[in-house]
Amino acid sequence: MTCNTDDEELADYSLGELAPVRQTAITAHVQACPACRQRLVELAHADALLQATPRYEPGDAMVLELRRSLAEVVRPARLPQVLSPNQVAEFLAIPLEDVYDILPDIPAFRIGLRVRVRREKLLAWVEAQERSYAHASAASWVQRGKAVVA
Amino acid sequence: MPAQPLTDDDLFALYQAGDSDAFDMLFDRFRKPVYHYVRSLLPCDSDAEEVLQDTFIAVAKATGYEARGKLKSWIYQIARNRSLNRLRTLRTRAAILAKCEFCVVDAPDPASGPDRNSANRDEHAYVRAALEELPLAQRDALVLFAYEGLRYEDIAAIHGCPINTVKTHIRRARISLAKALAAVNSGDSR
Repeated sequence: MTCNTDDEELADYSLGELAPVRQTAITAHVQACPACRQRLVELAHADALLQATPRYEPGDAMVLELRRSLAEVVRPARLPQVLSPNQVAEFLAIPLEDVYDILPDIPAFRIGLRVRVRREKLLAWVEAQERSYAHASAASWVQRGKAVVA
Repeated sequence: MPAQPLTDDDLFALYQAGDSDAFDMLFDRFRKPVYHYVRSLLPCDSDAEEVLQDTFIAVAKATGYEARGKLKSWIYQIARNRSLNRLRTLRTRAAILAKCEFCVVDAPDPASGPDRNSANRDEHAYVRAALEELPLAQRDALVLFAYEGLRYEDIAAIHGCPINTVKTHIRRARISLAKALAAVNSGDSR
């Protein structure tokens, strides 16, 4: 008896992925063909071994290191509730002397001789500056547009 | 009634809304399977560790991500792209070293195949060795299919190729693996 069943068809058959008619035909053929039965056993054995082979796993030290790296991205340093002028300068990336010019606008408060700023006030002030800048930019573009039309 | 576990998409949405603990849960859910996947594509642990780190940092930074498919597929897609980039770098480096007359490079002999003598005693080691012998695209698809349990369409999305191509890769990989393991069992490898 000549066997015309190729490996690829048997592989699909073993996963039940052939068309129903072909699936039935191969089932009948396999019952009479020891070579195909052997190939199916080999496929099943390989599939089972693959499933049983342990996965590669990352080492604990590596995972710990990765958690640290991720924390810097996921949990960026948070601003404290109350900031000193130095911290405000660092947060705004401006020189300290400029901070004293804007403190009355934020506004700041005093504890004895020390000036402090509440985080919410600072963030609200930054947002107000953003809105003001966006408004000014838009107005400037309108002006430029009018100049071009004129 | 027990609470439904949060889906991957739920966790990422929470993270995008500022819940950093949700990202930790996603990391714990995916770190092992993604590591296994990239390690299956790359030649050594240190490369896989680097790619795992790059992958999760890319995920963490993608706070503006908008779902166009499954989050899981997207994470594997990032891991795959980074693995392929890493492989390109390794090949370039190996090519440069091979051209350098002052360097002696212990490049693996492609004809030698896996270390069958030592692997004979350990079927799992031989499965890993036989997997490494498969063409990259076949190994890639088979690992996602057999280990990660992804469906053909998910793998096609990760690979950016038609579903039939994925099916062909997996089919051929299974046949090659079956033949390699049968050869060991019948003693052909000696």
